[in-house]
Amino acid sequence: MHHPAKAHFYYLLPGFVILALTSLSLSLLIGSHDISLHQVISLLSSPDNSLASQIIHEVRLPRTLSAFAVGGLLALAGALMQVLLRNPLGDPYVLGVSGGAASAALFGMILGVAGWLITPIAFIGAMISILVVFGLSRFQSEQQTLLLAGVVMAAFWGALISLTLSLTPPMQLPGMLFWLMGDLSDAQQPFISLLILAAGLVFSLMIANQLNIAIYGEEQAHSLGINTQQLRLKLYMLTSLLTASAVSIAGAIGFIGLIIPHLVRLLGVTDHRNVLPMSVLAGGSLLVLADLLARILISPMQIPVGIFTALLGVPVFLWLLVRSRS
Amino acid sequence: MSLSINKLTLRTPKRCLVNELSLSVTTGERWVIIGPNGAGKSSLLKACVGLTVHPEVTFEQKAIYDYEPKDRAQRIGLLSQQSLTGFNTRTLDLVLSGSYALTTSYWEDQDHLHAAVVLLKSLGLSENMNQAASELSGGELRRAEIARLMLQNPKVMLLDEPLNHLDLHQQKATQDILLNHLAKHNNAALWVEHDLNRARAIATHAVLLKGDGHWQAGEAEDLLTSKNLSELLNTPLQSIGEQDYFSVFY
Repeated sequence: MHHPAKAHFYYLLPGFVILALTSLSLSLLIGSHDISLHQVISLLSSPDNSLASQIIHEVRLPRTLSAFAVGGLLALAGALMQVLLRNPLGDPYVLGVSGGAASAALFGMILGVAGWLITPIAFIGAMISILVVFGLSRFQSEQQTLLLAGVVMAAFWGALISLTLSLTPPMQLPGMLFWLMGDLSDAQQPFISLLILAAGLVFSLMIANQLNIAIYGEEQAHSLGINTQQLRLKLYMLTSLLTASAVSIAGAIGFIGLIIPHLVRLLGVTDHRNVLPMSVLAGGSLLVLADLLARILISPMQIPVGIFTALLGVPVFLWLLVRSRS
Repeated sequence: MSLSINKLTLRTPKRCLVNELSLSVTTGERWVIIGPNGAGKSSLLKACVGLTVHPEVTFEQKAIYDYEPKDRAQRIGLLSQQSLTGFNTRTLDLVLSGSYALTTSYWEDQDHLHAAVVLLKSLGLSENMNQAASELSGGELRRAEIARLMLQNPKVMLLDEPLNHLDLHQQKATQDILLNHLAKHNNAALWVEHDLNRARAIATHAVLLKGDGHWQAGEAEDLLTSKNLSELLNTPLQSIGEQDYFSVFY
């Protein structure tokens, strides 16, 4: 008999790889300046001093890769939070984890700390948020209560952010506002976030077979041979780190973590050894495409990409909420 | 092989449920746990599987919670009352998760996959194998969980009202499958049961929990008498017929 989980791994995963490559190419290809596919390919392998080369290497490539990394980070964080919650409505943005990371990062910016310190500070904010929300209860708790706690936490961080902004010198305001809404136009250093994404994915895959069992609830998972306390701690750390990295690059982009793992599951993929890598690829692709739209739709003006994902995500969230109740 | 409980006390914040319970479950024994609602039956099973930390519960002289999770799961497993399916997991995968503790490899073993299929067939769920577990009826889900525990095949099975939610004809069939499994592997069971007649039919031993700290433990024949049970459940009971069935006076 064929192992169904492995079958998905072999047949569906290549499809997601093709999707990712396509969206990455489109994002490199399309923009205010016309650069042909042939040119893009030759410039990628051998940069020169032309304007086209500068645009590819200094603008489109870092932005595209950052978008992919952020999308992948958020989708992975979302998939993991859904296991923690045992609820497909789990999402770092909805549960206030992004808010915690954003508040902490904003606070760091106001205090003028060095750029490399922003992610660790955001991590602390994310951890505080996740510990409050999940610490209130555990695996087996009333799930709607947990969601509510997350939503209230998100409101709390929102208020804290507004307070911080109201005390910010007006000169700094527009940049911060754009970042908060979820914006990739300043993302310059994609490699660290890609590295964190890769490390996070590898680590998540190492525990993916345990995640498959954690969804049966704490009692059963324990009885089946899982160290549930240790697993929960790993998930707290991992989702906080992934969310914090995404937020420090691109602000609070919502609903990627909600939509993407759900779409992957809708395709009939249930095994987390497949759900996780596919979510990363699909999440990265979605954010690359959303960011492409954000920069070309009313070009030369740019829309913060977080607005797009929210416009897309809120209806999907409500639809899921209705479905989960029925 | 034995699961030992040595002076175990279980309490809620307000009262003592079980006071210094001691018993020893050895190979092949089937212990039924009987008591009124809230007497600590499920709490006792949770203590036995190490969900709550109780050094008084040991398996082969080592505290249950000291075992590595996988080692523990090979020795003791719980069918809890709480049934959770999680997302759209297939019934076959739910059963297959019982093999987690049996292997060190990342992907499930092909042999375990076959065993899961065979178990599902024997429990009348071959049609539901590829169905999402969340779409199963209460009774079907229960049987799938029993199949999972049989795949896990722990030395001591903790069964919290395993035949609840099952149709009448499924109750008998599933009971026979469970008893055959226990006999074949010479495994022991701690079995919470509300049906007194079934309790008498399956038990070699019994634990009666009163819920106020008092308890009795010993051989089923000595303990499962109408006098004991009437007192325990606060209901007048009488043995009837040659098979010693219980009947309730109204």
